[in-house]
Amino acid sequence: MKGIKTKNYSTLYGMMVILAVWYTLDLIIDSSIIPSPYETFKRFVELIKNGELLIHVGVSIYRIAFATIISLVLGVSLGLFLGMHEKYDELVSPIIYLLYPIPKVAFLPVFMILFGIGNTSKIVLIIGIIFFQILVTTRDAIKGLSKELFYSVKSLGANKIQMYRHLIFPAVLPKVLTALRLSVGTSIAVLFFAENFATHYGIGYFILDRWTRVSYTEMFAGILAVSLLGLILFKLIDFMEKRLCKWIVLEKVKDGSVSDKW
Amino acid sequence: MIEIEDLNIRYGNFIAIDNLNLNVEKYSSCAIIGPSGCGKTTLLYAVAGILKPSSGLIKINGEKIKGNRKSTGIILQNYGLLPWKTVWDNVALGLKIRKANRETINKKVTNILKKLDLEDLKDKYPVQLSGGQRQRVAIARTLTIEPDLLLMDEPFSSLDAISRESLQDLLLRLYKENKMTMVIVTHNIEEAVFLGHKIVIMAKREGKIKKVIENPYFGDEEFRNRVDFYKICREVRNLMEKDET
Repeated sequence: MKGIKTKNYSTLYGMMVILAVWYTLDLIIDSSIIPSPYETFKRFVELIKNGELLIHVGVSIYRIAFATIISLVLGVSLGLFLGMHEKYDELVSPIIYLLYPIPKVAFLPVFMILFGIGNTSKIVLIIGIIFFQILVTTRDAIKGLSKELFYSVKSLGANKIQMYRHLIFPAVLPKVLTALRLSVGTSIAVLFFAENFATHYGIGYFILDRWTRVSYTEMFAGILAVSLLGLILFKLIDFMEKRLCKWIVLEKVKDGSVSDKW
Repeated sequence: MIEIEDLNIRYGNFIAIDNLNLNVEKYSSCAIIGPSGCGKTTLLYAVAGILKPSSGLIKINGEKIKGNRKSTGIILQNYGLLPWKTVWDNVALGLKIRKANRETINKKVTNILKKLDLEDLKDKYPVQLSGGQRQRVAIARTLTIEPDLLLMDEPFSSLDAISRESLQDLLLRLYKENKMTMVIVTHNIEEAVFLGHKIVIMAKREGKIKKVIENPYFGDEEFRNRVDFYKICREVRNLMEKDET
């Protein structure tokens, strides 16, 4: 398991490089706009201890998790359906391809009017972004399956449910995890934007609020929290991949990358 | 065992199989050989019930086939193994789908893995196996459902010469032990001659049978070392080459 060991080190390595650059910048730019890492971490720990940061991070996690779960349910089911039924795919895909690249963020005002200025509009915005990624990935994962695999499993006598259980779900799962990994980054970035409007909770609000108060150390502590949140979510997805798709990890180790051969 | 009468298969305007008639006797082995695009895979898919004929009739054991048949074992190109299942789970798949109980599955899978010398590999995933090992797993999986008819599409085409011959030997041994009918589609002349009781030569791009050769030496494990083997190979080659010109 050489690959996994290297990966642990690579996280540490990434942290060291960023810290080093941060320190250097702090020394060169002698201004309060870049607080020292030490001060930031100290403030970060304090803000965690008094619960302030936890509330904001918690609200953000709630929004992301809620949006992700709904996107998964909707995206995977529609993706499965389109992947299995070419006729409907021909009808629906052109619509999806037009909607997919639209910057959903531009619709935030519309969502706010339609779904209220509370949580719902923010969650809908994130769903609007992740949903398409998961939908297209799921559909393509099914389309990428060879006919021989379908026939082989079918020839063993599999009924529809068994086809899904033994062939389709396991084929789709690693691709969905990859799509999730991509959407985590996007959803955090988008959420940050959305939390700048009409809310008093969420890590995006926290960062912007500290900015307007010229409290740069706390602003950086908030940025640190976003970064850690992303890291934890990435690691969670990695962990799920390792547990649920051991074979994909083996393929990666073998080829040094993800193989698409199957 | 298999009766094919006036079979026609068309894809749009393209005629893949043109009025084809063929009989394969019970407990015999039939090798179908021809250049790529001759319709041999289409023919096998039709016998497997995967493809629906445009017209004509295919009967197995006197019964017209419609869709999947329970005791037909099929091994397709690229082995058809599931990459997310270990060797054990791949081999057990057919039994699981048929809802065999756990004990039966354990017993049968253990037996077959032993027979095909795959015991040490049972926890490996297909990506960790060589081509020859994957093919043995595919054969093991098909044998668990105890087929009376085994259909194979280019089963050994991606293997090197040595593994290919040892798998052909294995297949012959299994054929003798298991009392089944075999149909093998191949483009390899030696393979067709070694594994075909009946060797069906298909014409290039016409979807028709050019000639059927009966091979009286089929079943001889030392057949490859005999002069008659080369005689039949040459006969098949000559028939196929005539097509080229």
